[in-house]
Amino acid sequence: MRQWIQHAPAALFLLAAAPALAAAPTITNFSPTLGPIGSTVVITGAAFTGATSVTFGGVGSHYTVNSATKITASLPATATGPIAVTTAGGTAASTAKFNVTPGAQASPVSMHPQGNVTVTASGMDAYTAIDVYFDLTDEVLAVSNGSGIASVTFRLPANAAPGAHSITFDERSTHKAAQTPITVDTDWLQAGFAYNSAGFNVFEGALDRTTVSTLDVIWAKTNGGAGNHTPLVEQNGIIFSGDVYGVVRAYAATTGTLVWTANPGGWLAQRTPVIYGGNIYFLNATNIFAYKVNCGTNGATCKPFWTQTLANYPNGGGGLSLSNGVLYATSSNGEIYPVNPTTGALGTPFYADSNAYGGITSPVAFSADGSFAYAADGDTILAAYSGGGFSSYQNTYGVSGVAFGGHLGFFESGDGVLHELNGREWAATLANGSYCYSTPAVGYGTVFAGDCNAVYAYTAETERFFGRTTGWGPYPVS
Amino acid sequence: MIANRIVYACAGYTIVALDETYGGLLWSGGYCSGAPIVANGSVYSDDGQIFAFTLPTLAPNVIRRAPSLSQLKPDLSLVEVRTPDIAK
Repeated sequence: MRQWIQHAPAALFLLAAAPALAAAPTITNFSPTLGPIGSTVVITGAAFTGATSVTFGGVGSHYTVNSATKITASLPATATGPIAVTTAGGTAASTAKFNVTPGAQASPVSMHPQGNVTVTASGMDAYTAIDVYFDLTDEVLAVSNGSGIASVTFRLPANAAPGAHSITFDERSTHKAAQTPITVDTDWLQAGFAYNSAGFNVFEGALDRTTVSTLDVIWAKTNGGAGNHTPLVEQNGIIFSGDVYGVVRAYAATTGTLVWTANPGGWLAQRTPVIYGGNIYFLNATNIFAYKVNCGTNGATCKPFWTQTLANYPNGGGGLSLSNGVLYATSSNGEIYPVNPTTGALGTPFYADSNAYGGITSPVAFSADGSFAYAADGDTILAAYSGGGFSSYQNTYGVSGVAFGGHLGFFESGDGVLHELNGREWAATLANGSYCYSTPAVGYGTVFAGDCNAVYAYTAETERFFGRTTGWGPYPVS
Repeated sequence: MIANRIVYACAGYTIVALDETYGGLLWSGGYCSGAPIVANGSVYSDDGQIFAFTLPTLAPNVIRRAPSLSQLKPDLSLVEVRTPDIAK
């Protein structure tokens, strides 16, 4: 009797605490019932809340639980088979099979020339040879697996023209085929490209010595009506610019149509923006603004998804740059602010040279080995950091920003000298005392520098080997 | 800036394209107040007005059609790349 009294409350407690059993999911329908890889499939049924898995023929998919009765899923690379939904209450499988038809996908769907692309076709025959074409060129001979899936990775041709292209899977024996589009691009993500300020678009292949003479204007668009602006940047077929009135404009690169605009205010001009991770970042006299590259269409006005205020205002000529996934913003007291590009959170600011009190006047350029350098105002100092520590160079005539080519950094000074960061002064001089200095461009083992009169080319062996004058300057190259 | 063996500069407020090996003038046009950029086979500059230049083969009205199967010629020298079976 005493035992019963002792155990009864415990038993009752356990019963009371036991969680309600989750209802088992059920699948009543799905639509469409057939389609190629990447198809959107709507699954209807019951008790879908909290679904942990949606599979097609046993292969997991990307899905969204829209409601307790509806799931939207994307067809993975798979073979024909039933659909299954798993929740805490169990797994439901469709009685009917989803029929996979021939189809293909590319990942990523946009890539620069020489970049690797993985292409996958499903709904093909099992264990069969399939030619994979980039446009008309047979790039790879893939062999499908037992599920009729073929997946290969190949490098896009160096001379792939920008724009829309096609990937075609063509079974060699039956000519069962699947096709998917892919876009080739050579985006320009920052003044100087690739964050090293080298001014070298290494992926451009369409414009060459034989075709450049056929360039023709396709559009011209008044851009705020003032000459001052940010350096132009481009991604996803959109050209971005900011002006002196604090207006951001995003234009369709092929038509000049205004895609979206924003009005963060302040003086955006002459401060370098950066594109990174599908976002574009602008800097005005006080704040950093983060926008989605594709934040609007049809001229819509966008709002930043974060705004961050800097304690020390950014100078004109400075701006944003990026290294190892971190934004760096320049400021008026010579400090450099690390910024989280996702949240806008500021890291601890640092100096490369505390004498740069006049403010930083170029974006910080980073080399692949972690060195960085920038120009500053005041007594015009160029400060640099490399593995050996900080160093600085002072020139009363002014200095340009730095361009890195490999581990070597180059800059111009207003007294007509092209400098290497290691201290070497190149013997050939630009126009002496011209003040027409600009950040050099570096590529093909050559440094290109402009002054008031010409563009000059230098190599380490020959130093200056040409000077080209086509009109009166200045001649900024980067 | 440099792209595909060509140096682009803003020379006297005009964009110039120079051969990187000897500085020969390959093309000039438009207006600029800073260095132009090159992206996707096009050249862009800004002097308060943005100018866009492109090649005739890349103009917006040029449509690149996906090839038909009859246009495709297999390369019989390619080596097979096998797709592994899915581990379920």
